[in-house]
Amino acid sequence: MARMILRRLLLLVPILFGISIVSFVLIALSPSDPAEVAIRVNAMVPTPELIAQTRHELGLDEPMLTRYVHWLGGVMSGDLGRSYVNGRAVAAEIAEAFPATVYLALVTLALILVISLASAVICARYENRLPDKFVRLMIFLTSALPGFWAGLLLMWLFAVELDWLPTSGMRGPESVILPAVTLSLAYVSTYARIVRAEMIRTSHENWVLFARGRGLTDARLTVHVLLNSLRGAATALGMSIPKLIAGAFVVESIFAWPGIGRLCITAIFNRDFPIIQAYVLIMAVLFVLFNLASDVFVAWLDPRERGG
Amino acid sequence: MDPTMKSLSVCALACAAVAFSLTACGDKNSAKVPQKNSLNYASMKDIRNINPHLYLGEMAAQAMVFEPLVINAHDGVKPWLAESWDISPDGKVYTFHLRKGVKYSDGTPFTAQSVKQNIDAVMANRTRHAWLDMINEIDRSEAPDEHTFRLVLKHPYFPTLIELGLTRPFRFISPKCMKDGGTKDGVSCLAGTGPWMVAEHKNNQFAVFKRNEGYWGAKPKLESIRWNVLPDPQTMLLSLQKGEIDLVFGADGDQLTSDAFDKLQKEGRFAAVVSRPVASRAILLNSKAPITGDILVREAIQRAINRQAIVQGVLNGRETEAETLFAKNVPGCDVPLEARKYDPAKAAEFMEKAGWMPGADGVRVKDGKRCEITFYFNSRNTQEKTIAEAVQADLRKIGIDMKIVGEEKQAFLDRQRTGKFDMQYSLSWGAPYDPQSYFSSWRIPAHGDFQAQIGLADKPVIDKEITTLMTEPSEQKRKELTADILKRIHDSAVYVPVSFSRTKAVHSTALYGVDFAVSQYEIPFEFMTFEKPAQKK
Repeated sequence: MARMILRRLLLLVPILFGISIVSFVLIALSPSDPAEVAIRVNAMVPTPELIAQTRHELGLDEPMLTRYVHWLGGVMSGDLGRSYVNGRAVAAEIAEAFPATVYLALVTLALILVISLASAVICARYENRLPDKFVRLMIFLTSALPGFWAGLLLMWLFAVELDWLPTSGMRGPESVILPAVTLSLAYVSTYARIVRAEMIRTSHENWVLFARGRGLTDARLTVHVLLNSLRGAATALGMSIPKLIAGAFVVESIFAWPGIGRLCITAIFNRDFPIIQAYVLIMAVLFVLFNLASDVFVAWLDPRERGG
Repeated sequence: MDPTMKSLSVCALACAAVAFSLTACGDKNSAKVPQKNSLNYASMKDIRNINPHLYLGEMAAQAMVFEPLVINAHDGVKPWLAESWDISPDGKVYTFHLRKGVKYSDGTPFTAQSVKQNIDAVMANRTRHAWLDMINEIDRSEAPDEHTFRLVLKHPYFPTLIELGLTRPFRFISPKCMKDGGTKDGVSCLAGTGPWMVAEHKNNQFAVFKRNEGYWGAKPKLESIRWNVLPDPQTMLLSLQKGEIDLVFGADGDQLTSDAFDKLQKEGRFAAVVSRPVASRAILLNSKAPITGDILVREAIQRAINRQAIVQGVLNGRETEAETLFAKNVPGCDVPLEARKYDPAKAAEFMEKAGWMPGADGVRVKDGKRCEITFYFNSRNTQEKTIAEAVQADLRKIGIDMKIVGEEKQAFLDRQRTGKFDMQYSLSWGAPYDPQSYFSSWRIPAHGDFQAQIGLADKPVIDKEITTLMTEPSEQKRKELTADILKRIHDSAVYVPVSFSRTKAVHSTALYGVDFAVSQYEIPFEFMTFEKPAQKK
């Protein structure tokens, strides 16, 4: 197990290296001149002299390889560079948006787990009976709603009509509820379905019959069946968590949530390459780490997986 | 209860408790601001960095905190931080007599020395401001005594006072906020002389402006303004309905589409107001492109577009129909120009004169080539898409097949810079920038205006006249030059005038005093109040 973790961590170095080169090259192929974009975004007039000066200030007049080496050197020493558009340190920009996103992601994750596991257990227990059909219908309906529409509907109902919650922004602890519910809708159906199918399959296994024969209570048996049905969901969750942390632009925009999704999409629109580059790098690290964590979790659940 | 369900309920409750405890980690400092004396304003953008000498922040926020020597009013330039001024007979030396007793919000007195320091800070970053011709005309500045400031120019430059009154860069920040005596590398505080002070700013979330209690002029009636960042226009409208937001204020449909504005106005729950016409909305016809390069085709398009139908049908009659690029009330623009009226029959004649004959499918052909052109626009602007569709139908009637391509904003701007378009939108900057700063920008290759004009035989003449105009001391000659530039541009048929745009505002009916500044980029918060004004007898 320890060897597997070490090997995967070591693998992270070439992965990051590769990703950084690919993203750097892809970004450099963009037809827009980031210096001119930065000037326009700030409502300045892109005179040829100003474009030249800005290119020089941003180091864009140097060859791509030099820029890459420069950037890589900075990253090694913990400096992610400065935003082309507002001149602020990229690390500071990300550090500001990150907590909001992590906070939203954690609440969303808790909701996903509560709703999807509860739904899966109900569905599996009442397989093909009314509760199962009802829960599946609800999940189907909610997951079919596009995020922006669901978000606006929820906002209209709970914030405007019922006046229970604020519409948007980070105005208080209750502000997170609507964006988290909206964000969780898309995930709940996936997990509920995975776990439901797995639980139904597991419940027909011999050991369940044996356990039932031994007089195990229904509650304990359900817990055992549930634990033995989490493998698929855990692997999928390993990818969902970084996806949640990667930020949800639509939900963050609708609910004016100051997270990383908005930061990154704005950076893409503004061709703010240092922010995009840092974002890609951080997301790569998160995806690799969470993938590893889910493998470790699966190994913990199922000893047969521990061989690596 | 079934034991399974019981254990599940316990499990669910535990998870819900975790979720709830996580919600408690939120930001507790930003509770709702009391409504009575505080205004909640919604903007799609954060105020960002409002250093008055840079271009990194929202202009409306910069104008709340920092003030100029003179201001642009509807009836011309008026004194502000300067009580009066003298101009030397040769037009090169401007002497300003500063208002006494004014202080920056950090307590530093507003003196001629501090004005000089600010002007020097701006000049130290000359390239950044080079779009303003004035920057190149400033020779030096002097502070002969505490309340006299002198600006010496290289040539007499007529828009000097207007440009000193712009939102940026000639506004004043306390010298104590400067870094190494300048502002180009940032500032350490945001102390201006204006009616508002920044009390709190959370990036991408909100900014709170408090009333400057030491303000030299009429103090704002409201105690504070909360500038809320709401990137989504739908959310903005829902927040307005809920009462979280008191005011939405927007130039050119970016925050308020015409449809949303109309709906709110009809509902009657909010007050919806529009400014007087501020800027010119036009369509550029590229004089360098293969088909629109022919002036006869441009003349045809000018007459084929039913702008009245666009103004009434698409813009819901909110804007005024434009027959010329600039309205007659724009300084120097009351020039006799023959308006091109909607006349599809005459448009068809022009097409035939240009050699484009009707084809089998109704689209004209010339030398075996179909008359196909493309109109590019920023895909996020739904209003522009609808206008383009109306134009498409109009052009189809005279046998022009116009395609509409919506592009991501940057791609659209890249296209503008490279001149690879037949048709594009153009929006002038509005008062007080029109016409001089807008003219000046026509000389910049990255602008669509430059690219659309470059195929004109007299483009060098137009550019030269613009350059001469800026430093022409004689008012009569300036009038003649402006008239000539406008005539050449009008005759070239490069701009299809559509309408004169207006700034819109929607606000709670409990809010009074909502008005518009001369510049569409500023918001006069200082006159707004929740106190009902006394009825005039």
